[in-house]
Amino acid sequence: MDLQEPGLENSRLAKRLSMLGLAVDGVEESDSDAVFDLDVTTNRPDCLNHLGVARELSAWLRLKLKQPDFSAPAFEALDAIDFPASVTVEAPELCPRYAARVISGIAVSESPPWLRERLERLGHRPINNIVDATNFALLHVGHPLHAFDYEKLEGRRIVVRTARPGESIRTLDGQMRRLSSEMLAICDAGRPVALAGIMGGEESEISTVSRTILLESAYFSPASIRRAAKALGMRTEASYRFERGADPEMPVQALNLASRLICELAGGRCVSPVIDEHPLPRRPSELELRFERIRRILGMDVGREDVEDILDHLGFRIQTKQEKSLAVAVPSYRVDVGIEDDLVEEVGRHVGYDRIPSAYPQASRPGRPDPTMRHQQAICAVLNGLGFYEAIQVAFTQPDREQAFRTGTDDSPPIANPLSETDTHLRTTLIPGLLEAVRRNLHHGTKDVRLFEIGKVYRRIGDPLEGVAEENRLGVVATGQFHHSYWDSAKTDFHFFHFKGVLEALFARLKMQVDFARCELPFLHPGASALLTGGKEALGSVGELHPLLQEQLKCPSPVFLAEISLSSVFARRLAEPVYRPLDRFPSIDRDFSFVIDKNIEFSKIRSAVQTLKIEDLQDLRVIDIYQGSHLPPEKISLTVRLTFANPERTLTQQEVSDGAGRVVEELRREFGVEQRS
Amino acid sequence: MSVAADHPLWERFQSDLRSVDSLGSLSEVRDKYLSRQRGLLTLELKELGRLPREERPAAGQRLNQLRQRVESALGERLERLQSDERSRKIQRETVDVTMPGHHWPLGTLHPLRRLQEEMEGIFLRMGFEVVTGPEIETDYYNFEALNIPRGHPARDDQDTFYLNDSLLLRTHTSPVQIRTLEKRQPPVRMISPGRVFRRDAVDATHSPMFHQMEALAVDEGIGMGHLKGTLEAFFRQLFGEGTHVRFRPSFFPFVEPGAEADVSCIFCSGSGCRICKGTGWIEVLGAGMVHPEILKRVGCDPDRWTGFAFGIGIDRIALLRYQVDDLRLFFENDIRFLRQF
Repeated sequence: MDLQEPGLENSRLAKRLSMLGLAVDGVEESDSDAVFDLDVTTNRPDCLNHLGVARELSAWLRLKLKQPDFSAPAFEALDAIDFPASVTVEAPELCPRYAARVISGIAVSESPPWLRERLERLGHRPINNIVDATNFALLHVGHPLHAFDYEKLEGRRIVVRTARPGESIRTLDGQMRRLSSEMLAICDAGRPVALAGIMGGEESEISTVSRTILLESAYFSPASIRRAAKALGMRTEASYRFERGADPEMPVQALNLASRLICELAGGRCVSPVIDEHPLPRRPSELELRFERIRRILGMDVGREDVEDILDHLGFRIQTKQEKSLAVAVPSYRVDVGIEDDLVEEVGRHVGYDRIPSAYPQASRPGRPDPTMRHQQAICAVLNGLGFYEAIQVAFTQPDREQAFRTGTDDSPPIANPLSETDTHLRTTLIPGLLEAVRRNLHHGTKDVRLFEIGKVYRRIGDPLEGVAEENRLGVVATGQFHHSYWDSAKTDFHFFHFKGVLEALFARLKMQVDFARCELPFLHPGASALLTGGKEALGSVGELHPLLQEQLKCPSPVFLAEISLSSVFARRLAEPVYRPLDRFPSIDRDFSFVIDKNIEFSKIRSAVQTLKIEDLQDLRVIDIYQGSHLPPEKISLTVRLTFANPERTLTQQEVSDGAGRVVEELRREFGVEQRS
Repeated sequence: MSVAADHPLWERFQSDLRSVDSLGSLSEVRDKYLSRQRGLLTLELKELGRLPREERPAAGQRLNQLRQRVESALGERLERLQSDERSRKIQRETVDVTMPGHHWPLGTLHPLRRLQEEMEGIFLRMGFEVVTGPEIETDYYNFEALNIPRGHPARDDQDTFYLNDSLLLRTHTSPVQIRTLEKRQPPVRMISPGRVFRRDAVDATHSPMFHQMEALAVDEGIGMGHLKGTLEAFFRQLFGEGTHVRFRPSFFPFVEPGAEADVSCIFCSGSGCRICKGTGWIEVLGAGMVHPEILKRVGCDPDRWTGFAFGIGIDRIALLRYQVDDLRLFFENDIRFLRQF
């Protein structure tokens, strides 16, 4: 475009264009001119050309926009007898307007240097004077045109219709395209000669021997072009503009502009009148713009003169002026303006968003955190404190990766259009990803790995095509040393009870009573895995990774895992603590050892003791386990500590001995244990 | 004192005391002289009764003085022995305090959670409510309700993972806003943080899964000035008092007017550097006034209620805040990375 404004530096221009909403990605300066690379948002197809950008600048500079010469070139009516041409639009919804003109006596050749250079600077490859002229018009006023070789149009006519079953066309890029019945085709008397609004056909392409052309300048419905371009996987300069919305009032003007240039460059003359089939004229739209609305939305007052001036420069026509509002006619090229607030934006853009004053809204109510925030913070605090780092994984997976870790029949939901072959589904478990993180850390030389993740898993429910449920889970993994090896202490590897203790600490913090029961899961060590339940509800599983999988992971130490559903954790309110008076009287411990069958689980011993309901018995703890040469292989010696206390008084030795005696007696009766001295 | 000093036992005692070198030998000496049964001094005292009556007071006084001297000498010796012992203990226990301490492993919050909590904190103080919603959404809530019908070019900008014809992985957390407005009349002031998904190939600045925090305020008389003021208050708390916010017009189907917001570069304070590509500004979010069609769709009269909305990429802010140069690090869970936060 020719910008004649003294003192307008390119950098200042670039900044202003950005502040008008036309982001400048780069400015390429040369001796004679500068090319601005603009990132035009999808709503502004009117700015995909120089005229549109010039209009924006004219409104900013408050200068009058110079319109291109849209007048029709000379035409001798007699010529039309020799060059008959007709246009029939059979699909007016898809093609509301179709203009065309025949130009004859042309010599197809290279364009003059000024045009070639101009196109090249703008990233277009010069083809020949005819195509270059249409591309010039495209860049100048934004309207895509197409030139057919008139001699190759059967019946010397254009029919705009949807494709018939089985029809196909070889497009200018040499590809054979099969057309479907929703696609709009430009046809001659017999077959398609162009894909409407996307690309011309090879057979009717102009060549060096073409003498007469039919120049098309039409307006196609955006949705139709978009559908067809998408279905065919094509995106062209033409389709890009039509699918965003070309100017329905531009076809004849653009036709005139291009015809004039072609006659000038290729030496032809117009031999037909402007054919202008306009079966579906555009309904002009008029909007009310209230000054109060401008003030409310922008948060500032804009003077009436400024509002009118801005709109006028942008091509809006002010139909009537009221005291409190304007009636504004929207120009045909502004496909983005449909409501009053769109006009408010126009005013705001040109007054300048930087002039909007900052204000702070009055708070209407206090802020409120997410109800699960405290639970999540508690979980993070406990696990961080115990040395676990929080992990976040991308939630995609592949069924193969999860197969070994399925605990139920949960079906992983497939993604219809995955990005890669390895991320085809949504995960149903956090475990494989955490193990992958362990593997990567080992690979980098980190041998002590403690990670946890709070994240969602997904599963299909009901009709496989319909429902997908999501659930929050906690995944925990640990391997390597529990105590780090160090100059003052021996190293200790993480073992099952360290890991179980982590979960016990966690649930103690969450004030939830949980139970562990032996279980077998395919991916866990059959001798060291447990189901976790809270009340009657299954919460998840915990255990050592199966030795086979540990070998496959090439992990030198045992790996411990837990996966816990957070639905019921999050559903519980984290109760505020209630104070319980401190013990005023000392507690008394009584230790004793007994030999017992190895197979008897401690939980059985504990519940047997609990059934005695000894009032003053506060705690039962294991303080030593012995198994060795003094004992038969199926036996172990267990040392337990009983703690007795009473809130009202100091217990007597006799009371404590009686209580301990009852425990010993019960264990003897129930499990046949022998007390060791 | 001379009265006692010439007692023969005193000489003996002094000699014994000199050979004391431990608490044990001290205790032996004490027993030798003061033991209730056989202590030499105790025995002497017991012998007093045998002396003629008139000699007893003088001899008694003498012996008692001697005993006091013995006890006080023993006491002094004991204190010295204890103090020597303490000195030896201190000597023994002296460590090289420059050796490293025992390693107590401490984990960290993921940087994205750390930042999200910080951001939530700022909005909570400004009277916003934190609301979350499903990651699997319907086409309606993710697109249609937000003015992005099928065939809209804006769908190209947010290439979407579909599960089937009706379900998809949300491309933003705006659906939570629609769900909230459907349930509740304004005034509403909320943020919705969470994971979102877009079909972007993985590279240093793109991930198919990332995190967003969308904010919405609908009330009577809300305008773009409030949007600007809120963003300034937010970014000044996050990046520091000197931070400036600027708007550039932009387009998002769910707002009108629409804007892109830049903050003054947090590295060069606006003078131009590598991070801001010399512009002094960093693009941080999209924003605007809630489109009146959306308000109508959820039953709010746009002539009474207006609102602003904006969406912040948490991951993007984290890249800036922690000067991380590759987004992929956030999802690789490498402890060498995680331990830095």
